Amino acid sequence: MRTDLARRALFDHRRSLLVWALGVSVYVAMIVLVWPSLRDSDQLSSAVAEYPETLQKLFGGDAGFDFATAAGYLHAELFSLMYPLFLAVFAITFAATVLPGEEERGQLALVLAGPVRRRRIVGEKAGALAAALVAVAAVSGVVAWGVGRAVDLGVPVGNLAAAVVGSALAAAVIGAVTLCAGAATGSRAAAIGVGALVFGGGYLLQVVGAFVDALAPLRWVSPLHIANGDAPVRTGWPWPAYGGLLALTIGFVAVAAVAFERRDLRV
Amino acid sequence: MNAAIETTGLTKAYGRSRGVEDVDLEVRAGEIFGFLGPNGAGKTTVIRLLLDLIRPTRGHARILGLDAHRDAVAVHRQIGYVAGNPALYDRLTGRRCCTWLAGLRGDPDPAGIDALAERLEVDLDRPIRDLSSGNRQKVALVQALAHRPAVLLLDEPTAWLDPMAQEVFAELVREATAGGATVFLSSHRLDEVQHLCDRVGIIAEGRMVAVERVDDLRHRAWRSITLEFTDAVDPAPFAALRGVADVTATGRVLRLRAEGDLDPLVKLAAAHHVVDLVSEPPDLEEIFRSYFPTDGRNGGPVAGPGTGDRAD
Repeated sequence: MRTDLARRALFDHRRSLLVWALGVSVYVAMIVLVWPSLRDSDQLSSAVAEYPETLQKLFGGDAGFDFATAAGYLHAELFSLMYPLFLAVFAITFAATVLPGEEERGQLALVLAGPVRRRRIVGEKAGALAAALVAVAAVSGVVAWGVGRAVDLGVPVGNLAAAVVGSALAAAVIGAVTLCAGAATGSRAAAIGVGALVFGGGYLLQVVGAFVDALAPLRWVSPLHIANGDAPVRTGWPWPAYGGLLALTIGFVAVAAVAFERRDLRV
Repeated sequence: MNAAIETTGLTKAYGRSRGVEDVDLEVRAGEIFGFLGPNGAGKTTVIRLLLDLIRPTRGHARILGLDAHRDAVAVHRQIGYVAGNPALYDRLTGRRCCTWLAGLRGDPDPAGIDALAERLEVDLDRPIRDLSSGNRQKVALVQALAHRPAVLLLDEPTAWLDPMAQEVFAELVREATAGGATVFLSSHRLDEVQHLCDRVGIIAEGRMVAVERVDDLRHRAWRSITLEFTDAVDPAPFAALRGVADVTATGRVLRLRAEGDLDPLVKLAAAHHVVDLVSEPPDLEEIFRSYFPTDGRNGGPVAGPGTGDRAD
């Protein structure tokens, strides 16, 4: 399999990749480092126990808000929003830069004037996105595990991995949607807009679904909810949900390839 | 069949005004074909259609006997392309960019890169973003020529080149055709096309208005000439010359417009004491207008093979 384009995309963005991996890791490390002081103070958990049920659901998923355990804390503080948000923003900018961004700069015309199929371009850019997400998730996941060991976090490594992988899969779906919008329009701004809309809109529906029972099914529109609705850092691997996210990612990439194949290059 | 590039009824509609309509072209294998037109006439659109970067509304294009769309990958193996304002991977050095693009063709180290860079006098070891527009264009030429393509599609390739580099470019193009390549060269500069090409297709407002041999084109190339003498001269003998028009005499200065061979005019002027002679190159707009009989002062019938049915 040829990987010239994927390696070019990763190499060209190696600095931003490094900065993201480091930045997310620092945030993760800080969240984990705060845990011991919370563990030793029972005031917070008793305060949290008095939160309305909807709020508890919002931060804790269906299992509820739980600051009494390290896993509950990590879920509420990290995996229910901030960690997947970081990964999704990274996926959106990466996808929008390597496909519609290169098209807007006229670089894809140069590539396509060579013996290169359009679907190969989409496939290799998606591969680069996947590799970049794996790198950021792996580095920050290992940091979470290492710092967790140092502060005696007590979350099973399997559950931690499940939460990291779930967020990465949610971000992969968002990245694939961004790639799709970029492939269909050739506009970096449109791609970023659609990616952000799916993430933000999905999150909003998840919140509304948590408050209003009738709207609860809407939460399944959110990749974030599919990945983290069951709080995998507490409950372990939700295999069907992850399989679904992977299938969605592959599906969006396939649609992106078809859309790109059919359209006129913009620049 | 010995047409390297062939288009039939090639049409790209973009709303009402832009785009190209019913472009029929036949570029013979081994020739240098000039594609002449003012900015915005549709030259780039045609080249992008040939490259399958955009798809025609109607009609189709064949390159080296293959369908430009269906067989795009096979066609592109044999094509070298330079865009008008070439976009490159500008964080890379010229060499990395050229070798990477060559790698996409399965030959990551084409032998020609250094020789080409040396002849064009461009430094391949500097990041492309630090290069001037002219040097970027040279890098684009290096990547297009390095793999010795059978067909070169060049979209205003000399726009940013200095005259010396333009001369090198002309040599490179002639060498490519001597080696059997076909060159499709778009330009809005008549002198460049006259200098290099065998035949010229003229496009204006999205339609092919003529395909002519370069020698025939010369007869449409009216130039403005100003002659200054020591004494006033009689304009009548000048006006009587073939291919001379619009003669006006003001004192010692004679202004006229001439087409084709200037020899009779120069010989006639030499009978007087010539202080100054200014010959302005033909105005391309005027040539284009000459292909539209309805609004051109010099309007004549549209001439040239393959265009007779588009004289309306």
